[in-house]
Amino acid sequence: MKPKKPDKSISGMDVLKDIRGLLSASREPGTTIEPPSQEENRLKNELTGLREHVRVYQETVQKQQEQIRKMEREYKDITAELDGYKKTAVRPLNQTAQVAELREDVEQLEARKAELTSAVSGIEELLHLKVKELLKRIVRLYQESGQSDIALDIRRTGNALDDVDNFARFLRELIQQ
Amino acid sequence: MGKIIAVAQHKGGTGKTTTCLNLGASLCDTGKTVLIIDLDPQASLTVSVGINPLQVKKSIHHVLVDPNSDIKDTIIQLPTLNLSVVPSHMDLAMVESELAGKIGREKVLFKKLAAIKDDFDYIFIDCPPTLGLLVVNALASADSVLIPIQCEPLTFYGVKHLLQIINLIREEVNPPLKIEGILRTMYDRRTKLSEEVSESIMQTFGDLVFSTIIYRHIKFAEGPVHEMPINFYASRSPGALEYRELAKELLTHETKKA
Repeated sequence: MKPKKPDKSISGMDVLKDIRGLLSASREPGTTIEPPSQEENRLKNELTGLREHVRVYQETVQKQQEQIRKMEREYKDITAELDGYKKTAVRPLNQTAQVAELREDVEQLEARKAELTSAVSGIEELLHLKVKELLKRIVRLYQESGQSDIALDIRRTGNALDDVDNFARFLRELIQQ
Repeated sequence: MGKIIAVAQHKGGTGKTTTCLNLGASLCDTGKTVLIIDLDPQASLTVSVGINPLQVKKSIHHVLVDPNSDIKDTIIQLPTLNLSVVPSHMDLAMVESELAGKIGREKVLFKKLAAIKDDFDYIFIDCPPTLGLLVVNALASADSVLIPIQCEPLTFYGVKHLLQIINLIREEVNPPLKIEGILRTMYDRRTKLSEEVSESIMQTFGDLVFSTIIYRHIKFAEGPVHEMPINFYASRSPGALEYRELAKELLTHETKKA
């Protein structure tokens, strides 16, 4: 037959009896410690239970509030993202306005090109005149120095250059037409 | 007139430092001026508020050992918190031998605290988990003792030894010393054991037990990382709420007594 285990519980610990003795010895007269009655214990337990309920409720509320805050943050993020998309979205084209704009640009470019072409031909003309004048001077110098043969050669060369130049102009105008 | 409360328990790891720091900070939140004295050579409280005990120039050790020292010189007002601290130092472990043979050595702290008692509404003394000269000094200086009891059976033995010392202190040194209350700490809701121990505490200590229970929370363990009380780094956490509740209860006791 197995020996019966002694009934051991926390409330039956010897140390608690010692503590009760120490407490009653140290208490002021008239304030002896009495173990709380069953009713008091019941009420205290009930109070502890209610506190526990309140705590659980507080925790739940706290979690829900955190969830709401998280959802609010997500909503804000999505709204911000949508705004970003709206801003970067391609605007619808107003084709007529754009064509007119492009035409204007083309016209401006053509006018500028004509202006530059005219300037270039002016420079060419000036250069041509300068070359002719220079050749005339050289021919005169040779004639005055009595070297008519060289002067004649240079004049012929000048005429040949004129011919080439005329031919080049003719070709250019032909290409332009 | 300020009130000096020693937070003592012969067993280590029952929440003395946590209670000193967080109850003190919660009382600060209600507008009270609070000083916490770290009387533990392990300096856990000092570290918990971000002070390096090895770099402290003047600590509670100087106050106890040097007769000419002024405790006011050791008070550190925490910059971000409305809380003052007298830090500890590892040298405090040697104080027993340093004060050996000195007449009135059990009342050294009492005399030093008299100079600043009126400067604060509450002065908490974080006691080491021993029953030596440091705890005797704390109990000799205090108006009352707050005893945190971890909801485990082994803690009762520590309480028994502490009560023996309290009775001796009352007889010999500090007759008006009262028990401020018994605080149930580290209550683990998942275990039946915590519930049974809590029930036994209620039956044994009766109306001395605070209604507030400090449950076991991981946030408390994070304290030294944040270097501040829980109501600053996790003000909405259950642990912070529990200490606020305890502060309210303490203040209500005061009002009733008044």
